[in-house]
Amino acid sequence: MALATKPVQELIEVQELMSIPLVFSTGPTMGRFLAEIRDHKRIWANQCPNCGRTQLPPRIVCAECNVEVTEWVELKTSGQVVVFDVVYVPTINPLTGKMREVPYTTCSIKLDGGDATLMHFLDETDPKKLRVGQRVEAVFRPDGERTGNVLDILYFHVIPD
Amino acid sequence: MTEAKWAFEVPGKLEIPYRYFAGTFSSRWFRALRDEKKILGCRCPTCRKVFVPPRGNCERCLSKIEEWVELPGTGTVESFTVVRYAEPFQPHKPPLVLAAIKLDGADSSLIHLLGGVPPDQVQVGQRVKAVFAEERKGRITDISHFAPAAEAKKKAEYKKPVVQKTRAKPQAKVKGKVKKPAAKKPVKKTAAKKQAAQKKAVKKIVRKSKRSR
Repeated sequence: MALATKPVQELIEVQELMSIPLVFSTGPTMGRFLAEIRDHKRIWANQCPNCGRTQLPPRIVCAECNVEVTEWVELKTSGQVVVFDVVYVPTINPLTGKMREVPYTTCSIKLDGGDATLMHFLDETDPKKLRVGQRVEAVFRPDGERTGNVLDILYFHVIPD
Repeated sequence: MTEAKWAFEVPGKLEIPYRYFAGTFSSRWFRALRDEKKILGCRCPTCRKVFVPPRGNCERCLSKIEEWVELPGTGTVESFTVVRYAEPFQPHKPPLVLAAIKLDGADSSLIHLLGGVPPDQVQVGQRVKAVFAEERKGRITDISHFAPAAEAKKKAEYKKPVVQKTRAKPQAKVKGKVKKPAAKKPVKKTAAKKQAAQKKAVKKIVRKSKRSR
């Protein structure tokens, strides 16, 4: 009965979008990888002089043998899927402040010409049409719109078997 | 070593949406700001301190607060700082004066913008008055800023509430010579008397039980 007689109170709520501008400094190693994508639509990895493995995205030091990596190899823009994930749970994209559209597919791709894998998106969201070892090819952002971001590769296009 | 000429900078940003809920208690405070242009304070029932901005529980004694007090909207600058750099989230262009303002009748200070006075002329102890925004949305920015008040200093002096004590000791002092403890002495019972009293009580119970039969 006490609930019925109590007057309804308006509750105050504040909704805001906090926008933080920032600048990412690439450094020389990551800079070369991003600049090659931006300027020539090519994907370059660096290769350890000790064990011979390629790293993508490139890092200054080999993660396995702690040796400074100096050599560079060009990889092809096509490759095959190593592992993939179809995401159905929407999360906030920190670049836009809005919810991501679902479903979307993230995957790890082994590019031809090396053993390095790159994490990126796929254009196919049906898990029945995907398999490990599927052939994929990079789709780049059109000329003049590439800024040196890793999203200059828009997604990887699935080549049907 | 990869040549340093490859390094460059990528512009980016971080967009973080968030929601703030004032809750059942503090919503009353924001509604008073928006609808009535009033600054309320809440008073702790135990230590009688008045808090602005309000809180549901006293920070000193943790007791639940339910009493609201209306404050006049004038106060004194307790401390201040001048912000001289620009950030996109700031409400105005620098220089900004941020001050801790102790409102008349409150025991805690409210941090807000100070306007209408050059930054180099702000003083601790300065009298200020709340200026409300014309368009109010139920936020802290409903108070546009605090501006210097030209009123007399003693006019709005706050009277501290009289603390009511539960025990009325002063009355005993007035009577003075009357010794109350003396009257209490006969109350003390010896062990023998207690036993006798217990025996009587037992007898009564026995009698009662006989009657009921």
